[in-house]
Amino acid sequence: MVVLEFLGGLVLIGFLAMLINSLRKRGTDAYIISLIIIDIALLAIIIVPGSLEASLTSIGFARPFDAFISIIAAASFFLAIRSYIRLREVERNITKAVQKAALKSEVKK
Amino acid sequence: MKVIAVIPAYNESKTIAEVVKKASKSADSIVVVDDGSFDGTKDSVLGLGIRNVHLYCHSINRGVGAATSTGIKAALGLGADIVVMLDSDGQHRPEDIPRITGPIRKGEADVVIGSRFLRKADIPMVKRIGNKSLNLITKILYGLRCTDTQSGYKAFSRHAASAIDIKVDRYGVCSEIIGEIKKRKLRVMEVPIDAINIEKKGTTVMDGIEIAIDLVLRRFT
Repeated sequence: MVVLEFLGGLVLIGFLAMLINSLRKRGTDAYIISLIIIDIALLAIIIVPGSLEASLTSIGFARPFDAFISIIAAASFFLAIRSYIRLREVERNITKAVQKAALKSEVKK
Repeated sequence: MKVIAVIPAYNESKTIAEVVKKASKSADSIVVVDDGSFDGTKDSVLGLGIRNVHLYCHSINRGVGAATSTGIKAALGLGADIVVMLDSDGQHRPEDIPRITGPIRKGEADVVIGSRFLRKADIPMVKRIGNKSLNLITKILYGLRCTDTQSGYKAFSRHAASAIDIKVDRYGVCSEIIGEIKKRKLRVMEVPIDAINIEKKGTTVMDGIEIAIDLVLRRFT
């Protein structure tokens, strides 16, 4: 189990490094930030399960996994709202283009 | 004062000709916005041969909000002093245009809303409840009380038409206009209008639910 946790931790650290690098190149991105938060939460569960459990219990979570699920739920909700806003922007841009084309040429017989 | 009637239309080939013919008697010009129809609505309008009718076509369907916005921009470009919005499905009587534009001509209002609920009318209970619910949501979100927020029969002064910024593409446009009226501090009045064939036309319950959800999300995002 210790070996598995060690390997899992390495993978997560590598993934975290990739995400931070991506953030540096692309600037603030809600998706990357959400993935970073999830990655850190998973790392914390692996690296310091004991201290983590005590801290989480003190704020109302029975197990670290419960806290992880709550973080996932919050991140998913945030991403859903963010996707809705992005989709609305795309729809708006399509409408602007269609309107511009329509106003440019009145249809005559 | 130049009055231009704006009629957004989507697949209304059966009713658009009659609406345009009647509206042309009460307005100086008509602007029809064909919102990507595929039933020959455009041909019905072109076939009328009425001189003061201007037709603009969206290449794809974008919704009544988008068509309304296009129509208002077109009307302002044609020099409208008063812009009247009415539906293309025959729900509204074009003969009411003088009455709905009256308060604007007299300088008493910037926006006039034709309300179906100011006089006794045979409106299905489902529609009444739906309308009242949306009125309440609009009042909570935008702070303006109105008996018929979802009415498509409205008149705007040139100043109001220029000031209002429509961003909603679909049915939520009516509530967005209420929000814009409040935001731009425009003077608004309501006049009674008749509701014609309302049980067969207009928004459905599902449309109403969608409008309500969209209103809340737009207000807070």
